[in-house]
Amino acid sequence: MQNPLIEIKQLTKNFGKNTALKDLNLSIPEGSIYGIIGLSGAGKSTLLRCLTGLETPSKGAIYLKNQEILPSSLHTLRQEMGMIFQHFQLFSSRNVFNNIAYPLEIRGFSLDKREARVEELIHLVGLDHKKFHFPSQLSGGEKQRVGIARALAHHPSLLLCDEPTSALDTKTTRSILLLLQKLNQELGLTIVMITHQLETIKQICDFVGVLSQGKIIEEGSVKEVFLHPKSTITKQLLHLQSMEIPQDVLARQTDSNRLVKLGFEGEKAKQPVISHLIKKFDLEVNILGGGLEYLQQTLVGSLLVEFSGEVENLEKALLYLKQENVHYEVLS
Amino acid sequence: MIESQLLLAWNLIPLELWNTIYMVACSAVLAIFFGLPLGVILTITAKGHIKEQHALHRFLGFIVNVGRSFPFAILMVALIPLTRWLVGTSLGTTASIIPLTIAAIPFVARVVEAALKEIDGGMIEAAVVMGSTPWQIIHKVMLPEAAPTLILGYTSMIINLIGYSAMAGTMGGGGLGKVAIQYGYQRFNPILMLITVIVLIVLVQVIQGTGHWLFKKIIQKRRRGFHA
Repeated sequence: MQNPLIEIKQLTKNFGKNTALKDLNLSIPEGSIYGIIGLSGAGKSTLLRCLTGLETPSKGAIYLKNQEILPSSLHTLRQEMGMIFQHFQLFSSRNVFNNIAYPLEIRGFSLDKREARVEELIHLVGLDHKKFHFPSQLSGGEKQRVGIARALAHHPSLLLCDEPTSALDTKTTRSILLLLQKLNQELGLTIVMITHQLETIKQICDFVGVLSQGKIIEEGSVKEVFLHPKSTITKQLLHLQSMEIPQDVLARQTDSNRLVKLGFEGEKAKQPVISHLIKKFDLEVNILGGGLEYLQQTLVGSLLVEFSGEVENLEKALLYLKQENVHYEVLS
Repeated sequence: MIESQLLLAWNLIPLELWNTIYMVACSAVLAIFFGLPLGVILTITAKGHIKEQHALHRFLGFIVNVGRSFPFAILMVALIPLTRWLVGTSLGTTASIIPLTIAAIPFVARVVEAALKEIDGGMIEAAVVMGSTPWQIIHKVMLPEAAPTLILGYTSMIINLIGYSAMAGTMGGGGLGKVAIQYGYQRFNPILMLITVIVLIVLVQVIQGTGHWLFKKIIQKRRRGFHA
């Protein structure tokens, strides 16, 4: 792992009697895209507000580039941060050019320097032809592009994203995510993304932290966490998004049949696992559903199947899957 | 008979119209000069805003409410000592500017506060995270964002001032109010009264129209933009 850009140590935040974050520890490697996912009320926004210095921790500390985020250091540290928002928060009184120029303007850059930098950014986000448009004339995706350009104007090393694609449609979401990925790769920008959308994390994040009741309950590389989820919350999150299994299918499970979710990644996907199972263990396999997706640029397939046969053979079959390193999860 | 009344009107009204415009314009400028900062301070010291200051917020709010609860006629009388001290006399057009300004300041403060409160808190936080100082947030974000609403507010303030200025005219001030009271009412001159009223109506229409036109202009610019 590279050096951490952000180090969060035992962060606790109370609002009156309510605890929003509790003893939260997290370290975010420099140059990575780190996703933080959680259901609403998990503490995502509070965590982000602590990172930006909008809230002061009740206990614990956050370090950015080894410097603690404190009211006294905020002015310097905000130089390192850019942020984009779910509802873009563009200034309606400024056109695209002046929105992007704002962070430079408040830092006292000369008009020449501002102009040069804004031109560069407008080109980077692909809005050359909309320079003098006002925010109300832009589509959601274009607004977020302006937001991204504005966030990067003062050369921050960290981009904080608060649900950046939650207000966008699928196609636009995809293009914004690709842009973020490009910025991460080309500029070495560290991106922290707070979201409740699993798809967003799957598409571009390197690491993911699952936030629940003010704590990071599970973290690691996206592949690791999503293919081998440990906590029930993570599993719930995954199931909410993937195949929703009808109750009657779950109800008809007995000893002689099992509902299994199989996961294949990379090379594994090429082996005829299912047909081996049928031949070797004399099982009947009923395929209920399946899907294919990329996790961190690795092709990952999943299959929901119902095995039926002798109890003994079923156990053997599961053992075989384990030996073959096929990831599986018995539902019901 | 009618000719002589019309002649009187011709002699009086242009000058007194000018006096009204002079009083209203001066007090409007002064009221914005003092009321705008007051409204800004009222807004930013409120709970959860960029410079939360509970005690100051409550105190200013109280002062503004006191100012607004005075009926204008009473305020004018109450301010006579202040007016004398500042202008040297409590009579005449220039002297009326003092009570008119004092009456309009709290109104402007509330207009500004209402307009600034409408700005999405998320936008102000975004500006904070970008590293803006409170002063930059005020003059680069809050005031430009609220500009169209502020213009409508200032327009109503000016129209209120025209009403008040007529009242000032009845109590030793100048302007169209004086004409209406002295000639129209006290000397039973219905034609002069009618002409004064018509002139006032036209004046109010012109000001309201201009305010609306400016408001629309800004909104349209932000909707349509400039196409390069």
